[in-house]
Amino acid sequence: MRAAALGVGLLLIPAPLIPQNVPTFTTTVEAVYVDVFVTREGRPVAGLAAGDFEVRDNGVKQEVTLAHLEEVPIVAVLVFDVSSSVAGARLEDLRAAGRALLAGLRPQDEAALVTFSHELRVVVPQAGDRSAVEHGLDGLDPKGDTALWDGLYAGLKLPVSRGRPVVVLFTDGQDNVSWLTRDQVHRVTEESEALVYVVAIAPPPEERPPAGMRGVLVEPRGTGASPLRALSRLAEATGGRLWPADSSAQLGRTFLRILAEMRSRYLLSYGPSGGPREGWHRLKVKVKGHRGTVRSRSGYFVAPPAGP
Amino acid sequence: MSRRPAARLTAFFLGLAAAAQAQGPSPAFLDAVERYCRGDPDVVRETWPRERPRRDIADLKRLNHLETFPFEAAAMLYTDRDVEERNSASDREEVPPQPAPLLDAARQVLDLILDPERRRRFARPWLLAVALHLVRHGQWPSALRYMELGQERYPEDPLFPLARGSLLETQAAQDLQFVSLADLEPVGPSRREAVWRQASASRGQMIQAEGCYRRALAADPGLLEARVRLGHLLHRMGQPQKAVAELEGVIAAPDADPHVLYLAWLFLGAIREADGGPRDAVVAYQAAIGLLPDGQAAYVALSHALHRLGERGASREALREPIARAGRRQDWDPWWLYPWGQSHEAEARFLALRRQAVR
Repeated sequence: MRAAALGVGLLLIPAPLIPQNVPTFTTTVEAVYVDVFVTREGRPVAGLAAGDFEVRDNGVKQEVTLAHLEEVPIVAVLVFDVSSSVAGARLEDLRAAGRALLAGLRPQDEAALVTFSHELRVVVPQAGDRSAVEHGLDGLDPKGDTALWDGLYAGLKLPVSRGRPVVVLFTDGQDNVSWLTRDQVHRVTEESEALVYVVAIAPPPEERPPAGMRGVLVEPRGTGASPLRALSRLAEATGGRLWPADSSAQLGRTFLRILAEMRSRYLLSYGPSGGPREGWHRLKVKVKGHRGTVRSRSGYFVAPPAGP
Repeated sequence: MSRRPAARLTAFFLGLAAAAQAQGPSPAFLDAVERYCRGDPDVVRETWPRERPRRDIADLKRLNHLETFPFEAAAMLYTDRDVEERNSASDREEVPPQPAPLLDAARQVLDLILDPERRRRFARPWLLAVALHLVRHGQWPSALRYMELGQERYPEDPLFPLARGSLLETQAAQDLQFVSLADLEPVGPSRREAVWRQASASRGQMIQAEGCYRRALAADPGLLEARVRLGHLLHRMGQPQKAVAELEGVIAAPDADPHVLYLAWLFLGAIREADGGPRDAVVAYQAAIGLLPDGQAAYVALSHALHRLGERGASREALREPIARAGRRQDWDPWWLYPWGQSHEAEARFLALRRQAVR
């Protein structure tokens, strides 16, 4: 979903790329895009038309149109954990997975590479040149602590000039040095137009360190309030999802699944009608007359204009 | 025992020859201590039988009348061996947290020093260095044990409660980051109870940490690191007014270290932001940046405050600077070190102890 409101600064899809049946933005029109994924028995449902969807914005039914995904470029923002725990075979698998994802992008798609340990780094800003990103992957040097929330924040704030931004966050660690809190970043995620996919590796139980250790994904003392749950909630709020992986060898396959899912989604658009414009907008998307599970952003936030 | 004449002479001065004659520790142990005193680095890296420290200490106890024996060097031999083992582990998390037999052996060796002033002069900084060394390796229960021991033996020392408070605060904050109201919704009653139990355990740790910081400040009111931590902790515990008073006290202190001042401004900004004043927070974050332009957290905080103010362009711009500095920093952001307490001092403290031991 992207809430495109001039003045809010989220006008992202350039006019020539917008299909005829999608309203072109003007300085007076606000348009909302909703990225939707529909599955039946775990498989993506293809061939749906705009009329098959019902979208409610704060309970108000909207008139939607459907964009042709092949005409809208994907901007894949890779946000990779390069803390010390990623060193070794895990890093090699991560590089290979990153290259596989880059190879799966279409010519019109773009990519960027952001890394975090305790330090944030934009290794490659948004670029159509995949070789720059591949080169960036080659130079990754894992060390240090894990500023997971700060890293995701940086990935979300990276200027994206056009297309459907998808943030692919890889981590094998739990945050231990971010300045921002999980709740703060969750809010920023809700306000951004990006879809967030999280790929997380949790170590098998026999390798989990005892209480007092830090930097790996562990459930704190059986509370069930695990970092995986937090990451899953965050991804789902954008319409994305968490892909847990048991080992780094699965990363390549997981990254390609994300790409395949991006191609099987529907991009709905509407000019919101009814209700106040600023603040939180709760979204509800349904498929009419079809069985299936719909995954989409739970809402979007329109910030008030900046003060004097 | 086959030693060169010069070594034998050194051993004599150290009292080792006398020790050997008194049917005390094994010649191999005495030789190792002697080599340590000479500053031979290889002795630490040599393979040691696991049962040896216990036997050595039992033997040393028979020699406790020997005032000239270099107990400090013997203790540092065990200590350095432990440091060597932990540092050489490819992943610090692979090092078993319990037990720490070499460190326990070193502590027992130091306990054998009869002269209380001599014992105190070495054992006090040693206990602190070991505690920080264990924190650095994530072995918190063992670290707490050494800190508590230090507090018991040297109650007037502000550094033990400071270290203990830092560790308790970090432990509580780490556990609490996953406990939010959102986590309670989908889980059943047993898990909900577990979450609340965790939250109250963490709160208990924070209360203990507060007590530690206050104790450190009572012993040394000028210990600004304890004051800045107390300010941050009070904010975490929902007492912003008290927190602000502590942080403003740090900011007003003459000749405060810029790293401590940076944290004070950063935390003050967080309080103002949480209190609904992101504009005031921006000023605080900018003050932190002015103190340490190589920092990262203050820029991230500034960016987020501007984001909340709806200034999205300025928010992105604020992130540009720390990202441009990645890999080129001259100074660490004090916030990166904050969760690790004073553990980054461990190596320097060991170095000072080594100098003292080989004299």
